[in-house]
Amino acid sequence: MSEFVFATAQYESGDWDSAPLVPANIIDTIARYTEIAVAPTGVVVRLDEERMLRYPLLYMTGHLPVRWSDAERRNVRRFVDRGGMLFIDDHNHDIDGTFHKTATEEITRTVGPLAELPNDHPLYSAFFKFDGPPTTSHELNGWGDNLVHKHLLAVQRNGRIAVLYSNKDYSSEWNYHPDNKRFQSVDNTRFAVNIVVYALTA
Amino acid sequence: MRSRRSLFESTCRIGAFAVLGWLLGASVIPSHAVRVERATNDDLAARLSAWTRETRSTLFHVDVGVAAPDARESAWLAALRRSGRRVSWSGAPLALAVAAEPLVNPEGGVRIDLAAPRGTAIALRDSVSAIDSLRVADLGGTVATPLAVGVVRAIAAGETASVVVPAPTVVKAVVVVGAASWEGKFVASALEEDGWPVDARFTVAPRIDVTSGGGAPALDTGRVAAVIAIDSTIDAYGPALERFVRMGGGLVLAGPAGMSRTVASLAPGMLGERTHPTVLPTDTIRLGSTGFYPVARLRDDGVVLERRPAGIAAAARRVGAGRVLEIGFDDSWRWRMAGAPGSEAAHRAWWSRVVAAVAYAPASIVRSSAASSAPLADLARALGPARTLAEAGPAGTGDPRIAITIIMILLLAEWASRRLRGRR
Amino acid sequence: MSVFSRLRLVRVLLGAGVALRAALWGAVAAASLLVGGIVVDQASALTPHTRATLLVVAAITAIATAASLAWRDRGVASLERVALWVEEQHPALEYVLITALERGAEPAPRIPSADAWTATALRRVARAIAGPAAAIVTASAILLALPAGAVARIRAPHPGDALERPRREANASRLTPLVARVAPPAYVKRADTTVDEPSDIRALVGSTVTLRGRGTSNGLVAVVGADTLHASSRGDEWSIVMTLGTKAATLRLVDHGDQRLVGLEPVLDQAPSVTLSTPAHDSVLRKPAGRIALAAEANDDYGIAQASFEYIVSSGEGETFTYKSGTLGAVMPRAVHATLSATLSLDALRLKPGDIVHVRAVARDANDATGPGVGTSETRTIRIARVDEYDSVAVDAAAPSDADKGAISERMLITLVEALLKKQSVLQRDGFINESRAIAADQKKLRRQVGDVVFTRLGGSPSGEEQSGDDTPQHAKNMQELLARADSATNRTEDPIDFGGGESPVIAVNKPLLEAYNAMWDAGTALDVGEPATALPHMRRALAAIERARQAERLYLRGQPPAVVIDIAKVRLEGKDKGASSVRRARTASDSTLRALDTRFMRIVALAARAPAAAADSLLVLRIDALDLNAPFAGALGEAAAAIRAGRGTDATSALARARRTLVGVPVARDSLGRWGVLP
Repeated sequence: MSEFVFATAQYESGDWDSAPLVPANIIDTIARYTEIAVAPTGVVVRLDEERMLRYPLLYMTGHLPVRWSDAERRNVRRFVDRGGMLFIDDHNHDIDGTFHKTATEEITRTVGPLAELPNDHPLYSAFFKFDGPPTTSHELNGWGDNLVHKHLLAVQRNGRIAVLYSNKDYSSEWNYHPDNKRFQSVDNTRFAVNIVVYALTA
Repeated sequence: MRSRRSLFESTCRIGAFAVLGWLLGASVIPSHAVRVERATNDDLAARLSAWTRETRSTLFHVDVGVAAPDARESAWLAALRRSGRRVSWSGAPLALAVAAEPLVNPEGGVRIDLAAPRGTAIALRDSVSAIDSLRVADLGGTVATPLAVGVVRAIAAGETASVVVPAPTVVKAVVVVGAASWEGKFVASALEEDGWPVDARFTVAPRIDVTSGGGAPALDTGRVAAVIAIDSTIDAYGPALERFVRMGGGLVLAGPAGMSRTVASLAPGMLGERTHPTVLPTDTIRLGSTGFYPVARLRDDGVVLERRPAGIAAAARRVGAGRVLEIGFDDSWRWRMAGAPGSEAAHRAWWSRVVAAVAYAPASIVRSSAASSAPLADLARALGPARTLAEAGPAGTGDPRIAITIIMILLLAEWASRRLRGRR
Repeated sequence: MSVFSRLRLVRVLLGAGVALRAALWGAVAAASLLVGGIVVDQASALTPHTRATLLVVAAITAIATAASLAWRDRGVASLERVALWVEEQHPALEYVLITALERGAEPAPRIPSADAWTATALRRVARAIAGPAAAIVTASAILLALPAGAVARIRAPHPGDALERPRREANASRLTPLVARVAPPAYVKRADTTVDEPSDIRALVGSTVTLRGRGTSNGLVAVVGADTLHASSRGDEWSIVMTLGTKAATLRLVDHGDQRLVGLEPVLDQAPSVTLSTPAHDSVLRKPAGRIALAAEANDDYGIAQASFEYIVSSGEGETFTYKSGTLGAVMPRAVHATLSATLSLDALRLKPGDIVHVRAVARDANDATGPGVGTSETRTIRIARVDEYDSVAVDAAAPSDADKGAISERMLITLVEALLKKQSVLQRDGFINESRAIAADQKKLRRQVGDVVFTRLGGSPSGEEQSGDDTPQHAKNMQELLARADSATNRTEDPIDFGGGESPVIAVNKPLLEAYNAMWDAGTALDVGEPATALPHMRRALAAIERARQAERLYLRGQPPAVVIDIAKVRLEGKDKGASSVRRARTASDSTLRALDTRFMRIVALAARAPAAAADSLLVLRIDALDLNAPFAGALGEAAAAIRAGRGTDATSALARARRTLVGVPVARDSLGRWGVLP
């Protein structure tokens, strides 16, 4: 049976590879806490290729403007319609930043408007229990928009999350080599397990 | 005094003339004892009422042509026959039969089975409009329609067989069991989206599951229609699974679940080595094109449902009152996600049919006196086999050939007697 | 006056009489037709089209009647025939007149009774026109006696004149006749339309719909969803005004026990479509200087209010980025088509290396009801190369700057070789070889630059080739090996489904460069031995490979990609924390709304045999509810409702069958009975 393959979305307009160690870190975390059959490496898939439909959970990040091409927009729409989940993280951590403005505009145009995800959503209890989206050191340090975002945003379809959008900058928080996890008292990537388990079961 | 021989000869002569006179009389004067009433399909309905008032000695004969009378008329004729009248029929109606059974599906639907000779073209329609048509390849055919209204009619070569559309079944829960994976997620999703109540249990870590519905309910045909095993986590059910199946429950073994030890005694066959993908990296994915587990060793009572060049992709088997379906596909989710346009709906419909093929759902069959599901069979059951009017003719009239033979014998005896005593 | 002159006067009088009589009979025929039409219209309302046709038919009838009569009496044009007619009227002439006329005798004979001919002719004319004149008077009297509205409906038929028909019964329904006037939103600048007896109103969202009928407004309401609208009165008419929303709805007009349904089908104003034609593709520039022409086209269904180019400049790298944005070339065309053009000055933007300019065209329509609708084009990016990217391969911009002209490129080397081959015949062998070797030296430099790019990206030293001092093909092999290692770290080629297909970014960028590198090597070797003709195909192959690499440059690779492979078996369940079981939410049936339609459809089908009118109304309501969910189904329902109302049973059955197939799909038929009842 197919194992779970962590896929990073590559899009035309921006620096999609701004957090290159996040995939490995999430794969490590999945293996560390669960029995989920997971591939040891991730893949990068272009949003404008139909091949992206083979990965029902896609991670997308960046700092630069998000301007999807027609092909990217068409594929994202099909991806969501068919039950895929797109996890987008604003690497700027800035709601006034260009990534946030352009990405939310594209999501609204392509999939639908984003809305605040309630902090009691099943996502936060899919594996580990959270009271809401875990904060990141970038938020607490006052980087980006100098805000601690209390909610994630999402587009939901038929009761499930189709697009999960984060201003928390998990891309910076989780962008380190998994071997360094042993130096942490609390694993800050645990929320990634919830995202993957939710995507695999919801 | 006349001799005995002379008396014999006179008797023969009188007898011969008497039989000849009887023959002439029978041919000229109609018999009042036996009347023959004939009808065809066209005027049968109008004449039945009058026939009912006829005397018991009347013979009723119906020339049905190519279509048996409808259910009401057949029943009326049967009643006449049971009341002591002589009723016969002739003609060559098509041997046609239709049966309808509700599909085990939240969306409802009806499966219509047809029986007819090879090559028969059958048109199906219900109370609203045409449903479909087919040409029988071998003894019969099947049409599954999502919607049928009122009475379904199968029409072929002038014959019509009818059946009342049955009421939909009450759909019970489907249990989906497996490790957290795309296949389990999308199987449960597809069934839920199609309206099935799903109890899912996905194992994430040791003693940590994600569940929905009842999660891991006791397997009972009163509540559960079928179990879908995605992988070997089905072993957790142990012997309860076999009891459930033998009680009438359905079991679907998807992909590697067929290798599980718990289902070894239930599976239609043993799984072979997974086939290689037949899809190129950039191709649009179809069901099974990414490889599947073929059913390598099929049991004697196993039924092949789908055969592919690489092996048997689906096989089924009855176990006790239940049914077990083994499908080799372990990543049908890829077909849904990366298939051609419409593959999401196709995936949903396919899984719905998979469950329907085994699900436990006792159905009540509706019978109506207004519909004849097998007109020829009903007619034969009511009136016996077809006979011509001559075969069924009035009793007592006798065969004229016998009478002529008697006359000949009498005359020959009289002539011989006379010659033997030297008279001309 | 001579006899002949008198005869000619008689001919004129008779001719005038013939013409007048023909015209009058023509008018009588037309008037009769119109009167008949009016009577029929009063009995059963004719459509505006039929009434307009009736006018045309009346005119043609009048002309045809007049023409046929005139043709029948065409003899009046002949002087001989007129003379005979005079002889007939005055037998005392004893053919003197006709004889004189035939002989053409001059001077004309004197006939004393000639003065009486005019009077005779006038009397004949008077008799001839008396009949049609009486008929025309009668027809006129009938027309005058008819109600004014009745004549007007025939004279000037137009949509909405159903209300001009005189009311026949005092207690007739106020819901019939019904007229709807649709006024589109002001921004589309289109004329109002009127519909008689509407069963379905299809109009642009934001349109004002006025429903009018005869009678007072007392107690008359329109129900749309949860809203109830009360009618207002004006004269002997009631009216209800409403604005068309974005959702299809059924309007229910209620007059105490009487009710009537009208479907409201909104049409959405589509957002403009915008195409950016220039620049045609993304570019990477070496210098942030020069001007880039921008051109785009926009189209809209009703009109574009404003269109412009938008740009965003992203500066920075790593975790620190700044942005600035602006618009260019704004136009307000107020038309359905707009052409945009502007010039983007890179100097004015004061760009720095690494900066990226995103340009797109944006158009907004004038929709002030639900919009404005915004359409955007594809986005083009113009990136300013960083210093470490100055390899001449990434510096082939769509809008080349002057600085590029000084750079050594593969294309320039090809030009040099082609020039050398042209002058080969006039050069000495030594000179030819020297020039070829000079080009070979440049080719070598360029090849090293390409090598540095690949090495840098794959984590090697930018000057790996230089450090070794070994200029052998072995380096190409090393590069291939390095490429293979990097690829295997990021890809699992044994899995063709998840990891196969589509090259990884490592391959996508570096493979063409490696091909270019090898081609340059072959070209340099040929040039070194004085065989530029042999070198030329390799150089062209190298150039093509560089072009492909330039396209792949869009991948934004920033050096070595991560090659972290997790040892799953080693870390499995080694986490410090433990999760917990959870509950997932079951999904609702995706087509539950469609299923509800299915149920309603079945009920209506059952109703159709017993109460066709009620079924037609129900189909209309169902159609409105189904419009957004299943448009083909809704279309078939509309046809079925219309057929049921018109009493066309066969059409209704056909439409219902089509609707059913559209809603629930087609049956699956198998031509044999299987051993297993239901097959997957």
